This record gives sequence, structure tokens and C-alpha cells, in this order.
Amino acid sequence: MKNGAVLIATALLVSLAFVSACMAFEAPVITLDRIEVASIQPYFFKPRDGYKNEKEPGTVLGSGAILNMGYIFNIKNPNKVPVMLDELTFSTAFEGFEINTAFSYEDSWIPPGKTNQLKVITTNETVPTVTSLMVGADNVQKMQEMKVKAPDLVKKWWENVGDFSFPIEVTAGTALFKDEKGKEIRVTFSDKWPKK
Amino acid sequence: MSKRILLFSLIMAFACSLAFAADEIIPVGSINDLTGATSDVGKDAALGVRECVTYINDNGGINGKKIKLHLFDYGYRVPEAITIYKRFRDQDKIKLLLQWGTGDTEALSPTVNKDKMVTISDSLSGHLCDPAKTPYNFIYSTDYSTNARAALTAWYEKVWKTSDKWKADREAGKKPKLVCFYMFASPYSSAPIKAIKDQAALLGVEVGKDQDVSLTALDAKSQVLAAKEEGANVVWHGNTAMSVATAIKDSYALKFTADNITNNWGLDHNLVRITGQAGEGTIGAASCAFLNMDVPYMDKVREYTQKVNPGVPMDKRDIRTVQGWLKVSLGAAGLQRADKKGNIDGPSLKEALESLRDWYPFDTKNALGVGPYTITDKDHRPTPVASLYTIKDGKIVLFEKIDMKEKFPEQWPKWLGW
Repeated sequence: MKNGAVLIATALLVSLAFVSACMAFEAPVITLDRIEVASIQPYFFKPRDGYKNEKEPGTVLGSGAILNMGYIFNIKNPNKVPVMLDELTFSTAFEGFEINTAFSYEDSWIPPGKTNQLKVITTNETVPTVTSLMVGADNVQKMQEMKVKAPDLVKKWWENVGDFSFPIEVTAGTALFKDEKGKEIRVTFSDKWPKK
Repeated sequence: MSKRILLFSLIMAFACSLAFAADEIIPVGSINDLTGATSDVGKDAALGVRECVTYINDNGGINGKKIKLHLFDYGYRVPEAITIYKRFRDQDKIKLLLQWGTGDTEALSPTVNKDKMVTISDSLSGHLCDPAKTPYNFIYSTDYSTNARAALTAWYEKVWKTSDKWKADREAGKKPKLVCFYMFASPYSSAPIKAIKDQAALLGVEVGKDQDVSLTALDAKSQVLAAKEEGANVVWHGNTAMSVATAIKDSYALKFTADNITNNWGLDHNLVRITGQAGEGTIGAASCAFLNMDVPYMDKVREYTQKVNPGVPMDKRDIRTVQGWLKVSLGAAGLQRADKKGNIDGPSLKEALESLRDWYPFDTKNALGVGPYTITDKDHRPTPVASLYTIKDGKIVLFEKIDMKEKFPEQWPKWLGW
């Protein structure tokens, strides 16, 4: 009997230690996780193609320009338990031309029944955007059908993006969610802007 | 009774440790080109990397530990790749680096070797295969130089020496002539040029003047006319598919009848689609089987394209997806072996990869159409067997598998690091 009581007490203590280790809960504390360089260009007054070193500086290109786009998503959790957004990725397309792919790896818990918002920033630059249009097989064919050259198309986008006068799409979106037990579910999404 | 208490405590402690093991992750960093000059093939490859990681995690991970993939776009810009690598190393604490281009892989090589960071790259540059110089660089297929040597050798033996097309030239005692089309400033494109010229000398093939063709070329007529003027019989295309297609189409239009051979990034179904009749007979290297081919594990590859990225149409998926799987499966084989020995760090992962003997992806014979691979601490070329495909009746079919070590046993050791 005495041994049985010791066994139960030990089991309780070990279980308590196990549960407390796995489910410790303290008051939330907010700290800076990290600072990242989101995008960097080599320091030149004008970008260059084929740069190797100062003796072989390559060809000076026209000045490039950066366009950072913010994509804001509503992420609704219809469950009765909290879920964590583990990672999210999607591609972006201007006028049907895929021009970028975005990632978000930051863990984000969404309370049951609530909707979170997530803003993902993408950086687009004129020179690589033009280049990528010129190497994509589908892009080249489509531009030929539109009778437009890549630099002219990109110039139009840069000058008119503020008016949203051409369709911008989110394509091939995929997000991985986890619940508290680590069970995973993958969700796909796509959308366009302007909505109409 | 005290023994029972002890046993019970041990069981609970073990359960507790299992609960933590389930949460353990192995961070892996992947640098990809999704927006730059090689994004036409880079997007597909990046999708394959993510899908293969998902497959591995769904099937037990690395000895029960999940891979946490950090995949970023560097737009084919070396400074951006260097910055991403520093983030991976210092913040994400990755155990394995997956890289993309020759420019960034060669630029980062001194750093990753100093850091003892194992990296597996889509750059199959022969320069990265000599562990005496770059001990932490690994590749997952035949290197570019072996591809180039094999493609020229196969063309010389199976086309030049046998075809009716060149019969008159052969009987007239003419030596065949090679001309190389590639972007001079591109590290990828220029990597195997020294090797293919060396192979030409070995075979008795003359070499004409190199032609500079941009990776983004939409017109290669002047280069085609120059090669035609020289009387070239075969052209090595060292760029990626779009640029190769431009040159082949212009050759066809200008009635330049030389045969076309290409590196592995030049041959895919986009090339077939864009070149049409002009592309018939093109011979190209391939790192693995194509997505539509029936080889072990390809059903899993196709299944996971739909499971992880159902929004990407299948007609946009090709061999680059399979290459992504091959790269990740090689890395996973190293991680599993290093982890079983109790520790994953640079030296242990390097040692694990260098212990692979007659290895196949997922330990399945001919999986993804490759293998067997052997990697040692003296030679990081995983295989001497180059797989060459050709375009026949609008389809990509196997042309020849050529074992360059068996064919050139004296030269093979000397070619290390070319």
C-alpha cells in the first residue's frame, strides 16, 4: 500500500513535470526577433551587367528603379482552437506576367474564430524584371502577341501601378498551418486586384 | 517496488524526450533564382525543392526530425546571395545550404569552405568537384565539363562517324569543326568551354571562333552567320533553353545545317515547343529523367507537385522539378547518416556525403533516373555516367548513357576540377 502511494505520487510528480515542461505558460513578453536585409543591390551609381572587378567593370546599364509592393491578406481561423501560420508563399503577376515570388516564414498564431492580417512586402526592380520577361518562354510569346517589348511593358507598369489600371494577381499561393499538437494542413489561395 | 518506480520514471522521461524530439527541426537554407536571368528554369527547380522537403517530412523526416526549409530568391545577383547566406548562417543556423547559380556558388565557395558549411548546388561546375580545393562544395549530377565532353563524344561517334549527312565530308577526309555559342560573361555558360575544347583536341575535332550569345538573346543571326561562314559541323550551346532556342531557330532560318549539342540547362520541353522542326535532332545532357518519364519515384514527384503547389499548371513543370528532388534527396541522405552518428555539423555532414557508395536517391535503384552515385573525400564528382537525350519527332528520348570514366580511364582522374 505504501509502495503504491509512492508510485502514484511519483507518477503525478513526473507527469506534472512533463506537462509543465510541455505547456509552460507565462505572461507574453515582446522582444525583437531580428532585423533582416530584405533586398540589396551592389553599390553603383548605375547598375552594371557583367561586373567582375574594378578592372573589368562590365557594361553600365541605365539606372534601375525599385518598386516595393505590399500584399495584405486576411487570414481567418474558423476553428475552435488556435492555429499557427507556419509559412506562406505566393507568386505575383502583372497583367498575367509572373514577376515575383514572395515568402513569409514568421510564425503567427491566430486565435479561434478570429481573423489576422498579414502584410508581405515584395521588392521589384526594373532591370531584373525586364530580364525575367525576356527569358520566360511564355512571356516572350505573350509579348509578341501584344506587340510590346519588355522594357516598354515594365515602364508602363511602373508609371501606372499607383492607379491599379492593370490587373495584379496573386497566384500559386500556398500556406502551411499547424495546430497545437503539430498537426499540419496546407491551404492554397489565389486572388486578383482590383477585385473587379 | 523501487525498480518499478524507477522503470516508470524512465518511461515517462523517455516519453518526455520523444515529445521534444518530435519538435526538433533541422534548418536548411535554399538560395534560388525566381526573378532573374535564369528564372525561366529557376522557378520550377525551387518548387521541386519545397515539394521534396515536404515529401521527406511527410515520411518521417530526418530520423524523426523535420526539415525546416528557408527558401529565398536572389534574382541571380551575387551580392544578394551573399547576404542571404549570412542570414542563413548567423540567424537561421542552417545545417545545409542549397545553392543555384555558378556565379553565386563560386563566389560563396571561399566563405562556405571557411565556415565548413556543406553546400549542394544546381551549378554543376566542374571547378567545384575537387575536394582538395573546395571540400564543402557538392553537386548532384554529372558536372558541366563532363556533360560537354560526353555530348561532343557522343555526337562524334554516333553522328559524325555514321550519319549520311556528313558522309561526303568524312570521305573527303575533312575534320569536323566545333563552334561554341555561349554568353562569355556568364560563369555558368563559360564553365565547361575549356573542357569541351580539350575534348575536341582529344577526338580530332577542329574548333572555330567562339560566339557570344546573351542568356536573354532574342536574335542570334550574326553569330549563326559567323559559324556558318566557318563551316562548323556541330554547335555547343552553353546557355539556358530560351537563348538556345533563339540560336537554333535562327540557324534553321538561315539554313545553317550544323548539328546542335547542349548543356543540361539548354534541353527541356520549352526548347522542344519553341524550336519545333528546327530543334529536331538536338542532343543535350540531362541531370536526371524528365518529369513525364516512367522511372522509380517519379510518381511521387508528380503527386507532390499537385499536393504542395496545385496552383501551378502541370504544363509549366518539367525536369527542373526533378532536379530539385535530386538535390534535396542527396542532402537528406547526408543529413540522415550524420544524424545517426549523433551530430549534424559541417564536418560530419561532409563525411557522411563522402561515405556514399553506389547510392541511389531514396535508396531505390534508378530512382529519378540516376545513379549509382559514389562520392569520396578525393573526388566529389558523383558519377561519370552522362545521360544524353535527343529530340525525336517532337519528343525527348534517351540518346545514350556514356560512362566517361570507362571510356577515358587515363584522362578521367586528370579531369577532376576542370
